[in-house]
Amino acid sequence: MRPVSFAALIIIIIAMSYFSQGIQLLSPASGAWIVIKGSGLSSQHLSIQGLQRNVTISIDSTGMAHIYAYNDHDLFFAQGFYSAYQRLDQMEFQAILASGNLSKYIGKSGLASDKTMLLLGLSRNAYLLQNNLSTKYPSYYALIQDFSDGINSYIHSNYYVTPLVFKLAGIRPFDWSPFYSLVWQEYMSWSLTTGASEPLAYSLLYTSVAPSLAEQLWPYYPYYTENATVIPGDGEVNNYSLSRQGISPSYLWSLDWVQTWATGVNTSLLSRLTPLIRYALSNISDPYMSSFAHSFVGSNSWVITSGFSSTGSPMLANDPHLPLYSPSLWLPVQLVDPNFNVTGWELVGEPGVLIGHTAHTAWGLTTPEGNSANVYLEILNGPSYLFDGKWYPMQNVNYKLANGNYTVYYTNNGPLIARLSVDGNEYGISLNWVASRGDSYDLLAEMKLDNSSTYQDMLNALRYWGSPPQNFALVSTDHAGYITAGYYPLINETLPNGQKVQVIGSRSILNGTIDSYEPAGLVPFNYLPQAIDPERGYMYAPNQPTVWKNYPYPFIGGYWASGGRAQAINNFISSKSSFTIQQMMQLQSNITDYWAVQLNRLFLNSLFNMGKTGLEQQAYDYLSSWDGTASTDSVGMTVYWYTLSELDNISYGKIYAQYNLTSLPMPFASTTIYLALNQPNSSIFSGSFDNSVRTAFALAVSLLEKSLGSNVSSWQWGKVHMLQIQSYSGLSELSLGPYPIWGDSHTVSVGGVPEELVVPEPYVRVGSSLRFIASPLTGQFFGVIPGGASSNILSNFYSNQLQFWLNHQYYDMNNQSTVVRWELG
Amino acid sequence: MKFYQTVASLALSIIIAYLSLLYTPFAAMGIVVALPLFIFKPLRSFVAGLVIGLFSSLSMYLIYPLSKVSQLASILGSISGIPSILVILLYPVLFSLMAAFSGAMWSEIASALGRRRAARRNVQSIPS
Repeated sequence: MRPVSFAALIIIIIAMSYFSQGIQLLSPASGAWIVIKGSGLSSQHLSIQGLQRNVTISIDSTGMAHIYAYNDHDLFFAQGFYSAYQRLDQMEFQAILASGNLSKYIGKSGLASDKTMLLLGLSRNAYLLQNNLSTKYPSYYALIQDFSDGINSYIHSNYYVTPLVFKLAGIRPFDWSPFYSLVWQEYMSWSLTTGASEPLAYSLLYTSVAPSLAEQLWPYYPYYTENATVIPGDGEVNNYSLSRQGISPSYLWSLDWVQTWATGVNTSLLSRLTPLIRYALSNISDPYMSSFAHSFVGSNSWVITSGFSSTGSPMLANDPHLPLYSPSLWLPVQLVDPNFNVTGWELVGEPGVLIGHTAHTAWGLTTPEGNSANVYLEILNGPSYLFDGKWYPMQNVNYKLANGNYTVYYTNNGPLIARLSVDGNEYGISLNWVASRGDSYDLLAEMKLDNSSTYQDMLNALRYWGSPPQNFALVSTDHAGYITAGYYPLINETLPNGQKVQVIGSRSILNGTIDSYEPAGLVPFNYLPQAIDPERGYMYAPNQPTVWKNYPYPFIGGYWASGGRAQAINNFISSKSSFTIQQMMQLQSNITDYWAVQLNRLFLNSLFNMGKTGLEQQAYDYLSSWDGTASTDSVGMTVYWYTLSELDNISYGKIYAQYNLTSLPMPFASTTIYLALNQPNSSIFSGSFDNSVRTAFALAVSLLEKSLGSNVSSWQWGKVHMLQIQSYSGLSELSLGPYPIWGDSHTVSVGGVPEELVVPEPYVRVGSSLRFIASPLTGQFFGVIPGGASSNILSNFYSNQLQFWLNHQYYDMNNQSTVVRWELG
Repeated sequence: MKFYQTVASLALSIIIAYLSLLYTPFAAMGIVVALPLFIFKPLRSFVAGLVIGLFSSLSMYLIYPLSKVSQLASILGSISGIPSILVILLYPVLFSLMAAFSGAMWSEIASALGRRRAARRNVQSIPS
């Protein structure tokens, strides 16, 4: 061979060597293919370090793991091991996200999220909580440590298989610690906390439009919710109420709670602070969550008392509406040892079972939406803040981020979430959130629930629950009830008539420069909203107002759902003389929009005399024969939804656009119904509800024709309304769907999307993250999640439950065959 | 060249191929795989390296259920924007080409060294 040819050979080899570095991922034995190894489950003995005695894990045909141990240490250790086996990538991603370390892994695109997490103080709160938990409750902390040790045991074992996402990103797992479980608790807590953005948003609305219009659009209590609160009755709890304090509820609720007497902030100053408020809102919005879920999170639950149940057993139904990720936020497990026998769903990354049942009890969670955080106006001067006439230095907390240092400033109220010069003065807004107290022992409460035998055991467990407050639906073999457990900070208020009252939250920003509006303790446990075995036989908590207006600690701030799901649940249950398990399932799969049924009648009235084109007549015919059911094949639903969206756009949207409020959520459909019935000639509808509806209908038909063609019968809801269960990694290839999906934002079986004028609508990404039905006395327990146990896309348990979920079917949690058995030791 | 030398050379190359495939993710290990093939002439060494590299690396997929290989190939292909068949073949092809070209290279080097040694022997055998 000539030297030139030989040199060419060398060059080819060097070039190929260089190129081959980029394809290491495709190496058949050690590249991405290795994840196939982790996709199959087979019965085997697993030799792992750290167990005191042998543990058995039986995985049933639904993918639920039944973990049997001889002691608590081994039980939680094995839960950690199993959780890591199924979901290590998801757990670690969640920990990275919540602790504000995303940018270290994905670069600058993670910076905004990191800053938000650090600003909110999730890591700081988690460290404080970890300290308190380990000092005050060492035996419970030890179980969290056992769970963590189990995770690390998996990472360092011979059974560890690198997850696909780690392979693709080229990252190695880090060792777990209890801190990561707690920081994810903080993240979930923040995502379900109300009280920070709501007063800010209402301040924007209030200062932009006339106060009376603000109250019309966003009433304190949404319209038509008076007989549909979580706790039945007028609000009295354990013989304590506003009336018993000598305060007239009607007087208190007639007041304008944005006025200076209520907040300490002058309303004219509030108007000038608009840029600061907008800035604060953008700073506390989680960019990661916003990119996934664009509609409000909600949930359903209801309980049936023994007297109203067809079997005599109290019953419970729960389906928490959360972002639908792939894999799910939940992992189905049963934990059994001499102390525990609990079945349900682990919130991935947290030890124990968060929603589930024991042999005698069952519980579920929904979000009550009252203020557990407050926002305060601060007056600043460089590094100092003003309080009670004196200047104090702000505390600085420094973090290192990918692009340099990041400092969070703290006043006595909490982290400064925004600061800005307005009219030559420096103002800031600080966040006072109950989670920053570091005493939200939610995991302790969870473990006590997991160990409960009676209704009283569950109540006692919830004394430890802090943030976020939750509506706990509770049933035992003999009782059914609710308690809204958690920490609600109280604010001292002096009403204009001189009476004093303690309230929860605020309608607007509170004055943080004086002592008057500082948190003054928490709602005592005995006076938290609660009821047991109500006479009517049932209670329900789909995010509607928790209590009515005579509650002793009025909920001034926060946010309530419209109450559409509450009305639907109430109507369904109250129409029966007794209730069965099958009816529980039927109700959980209900896809009739309660508001749509009312509003469509008004639409049809308005459209009856309208001169219509041929296409409009066809659309009208579908609308007139529609019963309010949001099934995937419904054309009426599509016409209704786009008519409603167009109507919102030309009424509320016009006002929002005028005042640059387009980022705020639209008023509820119930508001439209109320205004249409009571003020049809309102300026909101440009003087005529009928004309607005006609215009909206014509626009909707035109939009649908343009996007879907002129064959009206093809305008089916499932074509414009689809579900995508997105991978936390953001990779659509690892996501599930899109699937045509039923429901809308107000149906019990929810399929919520914002009312946007696009065809199709944005993907549905929030929904029933699990469905659970329990009847402890008869030992009947049913459940399903939209996915599976494994985060490995090649596993048979990646999405094995999805089809059941889509079909509103359930797995019998008692009666499944074992498909895999592991012996750990 | 004796038969047993041929067999030993091929066997050694195959063993190295499997060891490198099992324990390293580097296709450049094809260079090492081809080392025992230096005893052949360049063209034969090229062909032997190509065949050993291709078959050894493709056979590694047999440790997995093929349906899952196909499923994962489709996902990886979709993420990377390349056809799934290429996802499966890319590494084996590169690995085998590395072995093939390296085989030719080792063979050339060996024959060059052989010629030099022979020349030196020739110089030494010339009577002074």
